Order: sequence, then C-alpha cells, then structure tokens
Amino acid sequence: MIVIIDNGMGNIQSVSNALSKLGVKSYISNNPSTIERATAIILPGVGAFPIAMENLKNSSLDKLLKKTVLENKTPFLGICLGMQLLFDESEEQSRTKGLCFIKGKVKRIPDSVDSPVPHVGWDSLIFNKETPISINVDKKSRFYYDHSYFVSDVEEADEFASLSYGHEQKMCVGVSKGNIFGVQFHPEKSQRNGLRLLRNFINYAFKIT
Amino acid sequence: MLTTRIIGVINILNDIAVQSINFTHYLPIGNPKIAVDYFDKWGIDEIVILDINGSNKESSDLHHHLPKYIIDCQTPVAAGGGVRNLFDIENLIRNGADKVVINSNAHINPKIIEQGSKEFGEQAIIISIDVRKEGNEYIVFGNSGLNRLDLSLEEIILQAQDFGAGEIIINSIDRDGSKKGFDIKLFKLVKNLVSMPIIGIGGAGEPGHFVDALSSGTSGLAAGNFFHFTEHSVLMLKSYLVKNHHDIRLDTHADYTNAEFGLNNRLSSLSDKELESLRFDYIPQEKI
Repeated sequence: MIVIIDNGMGNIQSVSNALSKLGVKSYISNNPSTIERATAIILPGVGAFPIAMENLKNSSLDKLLKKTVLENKTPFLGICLGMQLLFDESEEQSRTKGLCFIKGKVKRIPDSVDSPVPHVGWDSLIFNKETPISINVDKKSRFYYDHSYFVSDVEEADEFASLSYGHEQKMCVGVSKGNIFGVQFHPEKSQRNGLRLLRNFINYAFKIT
Repeated sequence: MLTTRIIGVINILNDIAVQSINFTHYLPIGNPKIAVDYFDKWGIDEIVILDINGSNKESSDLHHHLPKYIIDCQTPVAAGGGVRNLFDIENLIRNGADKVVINSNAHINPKIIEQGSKEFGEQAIIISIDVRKEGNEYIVFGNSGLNRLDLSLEEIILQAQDFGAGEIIINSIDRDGSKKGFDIKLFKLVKNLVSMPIIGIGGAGEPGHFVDALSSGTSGLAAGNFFHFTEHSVLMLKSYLVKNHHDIRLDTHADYTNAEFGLNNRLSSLSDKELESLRFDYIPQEKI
C-alpha cells in the first residue's frame, strides 16, 4: 500500500494520478494508522516550509514519520518541498527546524542576471551515483523544477544528483540515505522520465527487481 | 541549463476549449481534456488553462472542472481566470493546478499576491498582464481586455514583484490570434524591468516566430491557436527549433528531427519509396 501524505496543502492529486498511470493504487491520507501500515510513503509538496512544518507538527506526523521512516525503515520519497523537509533547517520566511532525517540546510537561491528566481522549467542534472530510484533513467533526462529555495551543505554520501544554476550556484537536487529518497524536481510532472523514476521507487518499495 | 519553455494555452469558455481572436471572437475547439492530453503526449513543457469568462462570473468555478481535464496529464499546469482571493487560489491548487494565474484582480488588489505566495510559495503565483499598444505606449487592460487600468505597465510589474509574484505572463492583445509573430520589443521591455522569469504570448503563427522570440530572453514562449489545429504541432515545433540549434527539451518517444520542413515550415511529405519501406516497420509501444 502506497500512502501519499496529505499535509493540508499542495497539489497531491497529481502524484496519485501519476501512480495510477503506472497501474499502482495509492491512498491519500493523514491518518496515523494508515501511514504506519504503509509499504511506502510519499510526501509531496507545494508550499512554504514553515507552514508545512507547522502542519506536520500539529497533526503529530513529524513524530510518526520518525518512527516509520527512521525506525521501521519504510521506503520514503520526498518530492520538492517534501524533500526539503527532510533536512535540518530552512531559511524560508523565518528560520525553521525541519525533520532532521538527513544533514543539510535549505537556502534561498541567490538572484543573478543569468539565473532568475524561482528556478522554473525543465533542467538537466548530474547523477553522482547510482541509486535504486535512478536506475534505467536516461542520464540526459530533463525534469521539471519549480522552486526558490534549494538544499545545500549535504554530505557527499547522501547526495545522488546535483545541478548548476547560472554561473556558480550548485544545488543538491537528489538525496538518498538508506530507505529515504528525496528529489527537488517533480517526477509526477516530468512526463515519461518522471514516470520512470516513480516506477523505480515503486519497484524498490515492493522489492521487485 | 534550463531550456526555454514552450507553453500551450487552453482558453476555456463554459467548459469548452475555444480559440481566441483579439479577445473579442471565440471559436470552439472542443473538449478541454483532449486538448490537455494531446499537449501532454506531444511533450509540451507546461500547460496554461484559463477560464476566459472567469472574471465576469460571480465566483470562479474552474476548479470544479479542472480535475477531469488533467487526470491523465503529467505536465505542469497553471490555471486561472477570475481568481479573486486566497480561497480561489487554494481551490485551484487543491484540484490539481501547480500554479495559479492571476490577472486583473492582482493589479487592482496586489495583497492577494502576497497572501498567495506566503501560503503556497512565490513559485505558485503567476501574474498575467494583458496590454494593448496605443501609439508608442503599452496600456494595461483588465477583465479580458475590457477595462483600461489606471496604472502603467511598469507600475504593475514592479508592484507584482514587490508583493512576491513568482512569474509574469505578458500578453499582447493586438497580436492575439493574429499569426503576425510575437511582440519581441514588449517582451524585452518587461524582461529588463524584473529578475523573475517572464513568459511571452500573443501572435505565434509559424515556427520561425519562436526562433525570433527566443532571443528576447524570456523563460517561456506560449501559444494557443498555433498548437491546436495541427497534429503533433508541439513535436514539430520543437524538432524545428532543435534542428536550428536552439536548446529546447525534446525527449518524447517520437520526434521529427530527421524530417524535412518545407513551405511555411510545414512538414514535407516523405517520398513514395520511404513510405513503402515504412509499411512493414514494427514500432513497439513504450513501456514504463
């Protein structure tokens, strides 16, 4: 059973639509007992970091995720803001503590002439290493991004994909640490390449090789 | 490197996709879901769905219809038309829009930009600006080109930036549906005012118009009518641009990069010999 966490914000239906295109049934829920029984958890996200974190705390989902993801090792995929929430803190609006599952910080993309903010559109990326969710993905694939904040200060072992925006800004756009995965782009909105990545995550979750 | 986005616009009038000419005439195209599915399959970079009568209704109702339009779509969707308040923004995002397009109401009451970007992040708020050229000046109009606004183009753009908008769509009403090409001067003018991404629209009639406009520095080029009436229009345009050495995303299962383009940049027909050899070709369906 795949559970998509309904954090009270963002466009969650599109993740569920993409999964049903792959023939996978998913449940959109914020019910603790459903999330605890999940085979895999997806945390999508459009929205601002502080509000998302507050919503997680108010529904005690932060504690529940710690238990299921860190202790029970349930496969987890964070998308966009869902990935950013995995880290220690974000400077969006006001400094806010995140879930602290992976070491790193969320910072604002610096404005510059050759790199307008937000970073919107289809961008390529560099895969630093192979992970269960990036196998079979064409390394020249472009994915869809839409964000003003990015993840930085990530340990090399946890980062599997990065990209350079403008002349100098390097951003971490993919993390993997054991059963935890996070992508800055939107696989559910990246047409066939995105579906391929989601298929990989499903295969990983159900141990299909 | 980000590629310039090629964006498809679907104008909706009473649950039907329509062609818009000069903001005054509307001709039916058909079921919006089919238009969305085509765009998605043909590898468009983004889809904008606008309820063009939205601002004349008592309340925006696009969110009721949106889920059925985009159920099979894996392309980013921006939706708008008659968005008045935070409630309208939330309704659209909850029903599948990745971003919300706000026009007149954001110019008159910019507070809504601030509320929206605080709640959903600035990347979710796109401000759309419709302009008509009068002499050498660009005048901003609201309510689908009906009302002339008091603020200047520059004031409206800077105000949108100050209140936290994420992107700007700049639309030339004079060029809308004219097939005369984009108003590149207008795009450059807007581009130089702000640092956020700009999307230009109005007047695309042939692939060459996109080539001309790529130099304006906009992050996206959008068209509606140009894409709706030809099979594989998006694929053909993108193949044409890639062939002309422009950095455009083209990764659909099918592409036309090996095809020849003839008069008006239309696809040339294949020779009889090639068609004959295609007869027994087996093209397997893609499995993901």
